[in-house]
Amino acid sequence: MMTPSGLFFFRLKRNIKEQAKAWSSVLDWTVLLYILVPAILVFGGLYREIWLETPKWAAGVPWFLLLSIVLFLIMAFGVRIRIFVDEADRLFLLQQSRWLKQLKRYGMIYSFLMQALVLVPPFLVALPFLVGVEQAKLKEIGAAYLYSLLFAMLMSMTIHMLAGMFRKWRLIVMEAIVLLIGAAAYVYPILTLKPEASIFGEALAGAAVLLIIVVIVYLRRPIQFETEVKNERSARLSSTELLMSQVIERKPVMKLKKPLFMRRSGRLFKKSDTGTIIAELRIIAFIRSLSTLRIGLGFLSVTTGALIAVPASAGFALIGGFLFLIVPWLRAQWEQWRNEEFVGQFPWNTADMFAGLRISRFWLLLPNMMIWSAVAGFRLLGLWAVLPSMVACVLIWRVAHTREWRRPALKAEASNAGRD
Amino acid sequence: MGDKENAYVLQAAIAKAGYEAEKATIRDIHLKVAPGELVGLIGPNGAGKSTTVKTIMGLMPNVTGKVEIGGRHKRYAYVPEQPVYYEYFTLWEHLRLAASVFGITEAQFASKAERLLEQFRLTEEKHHYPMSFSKGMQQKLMLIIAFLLEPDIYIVDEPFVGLDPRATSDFLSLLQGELDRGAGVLMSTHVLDTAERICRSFVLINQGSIVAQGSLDQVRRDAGCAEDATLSQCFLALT
Repeated sequence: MMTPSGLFFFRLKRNIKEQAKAWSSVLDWTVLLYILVPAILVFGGLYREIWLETPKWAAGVPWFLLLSIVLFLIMAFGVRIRIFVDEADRLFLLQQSRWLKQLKRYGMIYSFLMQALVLVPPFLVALPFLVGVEQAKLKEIGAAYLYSLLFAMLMSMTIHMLAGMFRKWRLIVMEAIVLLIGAAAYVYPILTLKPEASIFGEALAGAAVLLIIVVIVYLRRPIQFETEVKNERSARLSSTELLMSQVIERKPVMKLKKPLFMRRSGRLFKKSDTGTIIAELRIIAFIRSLSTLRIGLGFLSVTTGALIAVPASAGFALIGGFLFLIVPWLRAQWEQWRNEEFVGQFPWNTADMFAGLRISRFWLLLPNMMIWSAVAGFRLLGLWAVLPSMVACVLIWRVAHTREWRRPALKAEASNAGRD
Repeated sequence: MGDKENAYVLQAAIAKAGYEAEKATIRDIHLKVAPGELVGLIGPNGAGKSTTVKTIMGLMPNVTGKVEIGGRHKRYAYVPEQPVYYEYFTLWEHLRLAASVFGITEAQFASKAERLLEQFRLTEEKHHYPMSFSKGMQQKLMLIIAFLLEPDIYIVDEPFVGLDPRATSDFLSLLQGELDRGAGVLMSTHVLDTAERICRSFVLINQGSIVAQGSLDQVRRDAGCAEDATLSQCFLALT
């Protein structure tokens, strides 16, 4: 007869097979031969060279800050708790709390081990820079890894439990609060990582204690079955969704009777030309798609935290760096939206489509530009510089969007933006 | 166990329940099912029947009230309207898992499972995946699992959907056997003529609250209908 551990490991094995099947559908021998093997050789050689001699360009980069931002984004959006429940468990397993508790226990151990693995690659990539540029000792890097692991588990457990406690806008608000507090609580101790800094030891102990409390609370709470099933379903499909993101239909995260933003289907802009209308629809779609909005807000909170942490003189330069990260992501989101069945059915004019892209990008990133410039200005020259910095940045951002329309290279891009 | 404890196999006193704390989907739902009693849970679409069933099963996140499963084992079996099953288990493995979860020994399980498969004419398919079954066969699987567990109370959601007349008849005769054994049944359904024929009492829900409750005569009185009014007529009068 079957036991809880038998059931858990059966499901785990099946999940590994499913994931392997999904990945093997794209990683065939040609990909391995022509892409993966050369990539490993090239990047392996590059990695070895960096170990032998730290490149000059790496000297000015705040590596701990960069690593902590990447790790926090992974913690916030890339790891989750899995306990492998199944929709059919409601038939009879639901009334056996002993079985469900066992599944929870095994699931937490599995999630912890998975998170320990997921956090290794970013550390491995950053290792030569942390040692060569930041002069960090292996003991410190080990402590940073341990802190990251505890924090990753703490964040994923907290977000997992919030999903069972709140719904709709309350869940979004609670998640945003946890992400904001988490960003500060994680990045700051990592940046103060020095042997003499007692705060790191305290943060490490604090994270461990908090994690123990959260684990106890989670184990004692009755299972939020429907939330767990939903979470499990989305985790099972995550690889497939990632691999098939260009072809599968995206469904809304939750069903609402009325939208939270623009509840009466109003207008954002006065103009009614096609480009403006496309931009308006794009902005509304972006804000109403809570998953993209959440990533956008997460990026804003982490980058704003980074602006506070770096030397004041580097602030404005860093804003340029942020744009290099966010603009391609926004472009990818645009492409996905443009290719959605409903949007894609109309014979859009190329110029209108590009105007839509340009206007929507300007407005979607305007809040980021204002917040970043305000923080950078404040840190560089004090309170009086906040408003002039914002005005200057907004003007530059505006000019950049007016000018790029006239640039030949981007005109070529325009021909790809339409569908005619 | 005293007589008082044996008096009901299900007692639900739900002041309110819903997906959000401040927004109750159902209110003041008080119902009891005695051993050997078949209670029909009736109501139009969106009335709150499914929420009531989910609340009884402990699936609703925000509940004010108390739900108590009684009987010898304090065990319920749930038969959903839409069959749910494990894609990766055969029919036989489904039954074995259910038996494992409830501590039924292999020997007890095997003989009972074989008998049920025979009754529902699924012996040939015992090593097939339920995914390959028709909806009616999947529904039979739900019923076999429920009967295998010998619960104190059956919570059955629209059991007649997808069953052919013969399977319906088999289901009803097995259900009668379980009622005779002392199990209770709470059955949510829209098939009012069958419900009228087999249920001893009814709970009519509309807009999240009970609008009539008790025997058919009591429901007729609550609905202001004639003495010979059908359940369907009462339903139309009340909803």
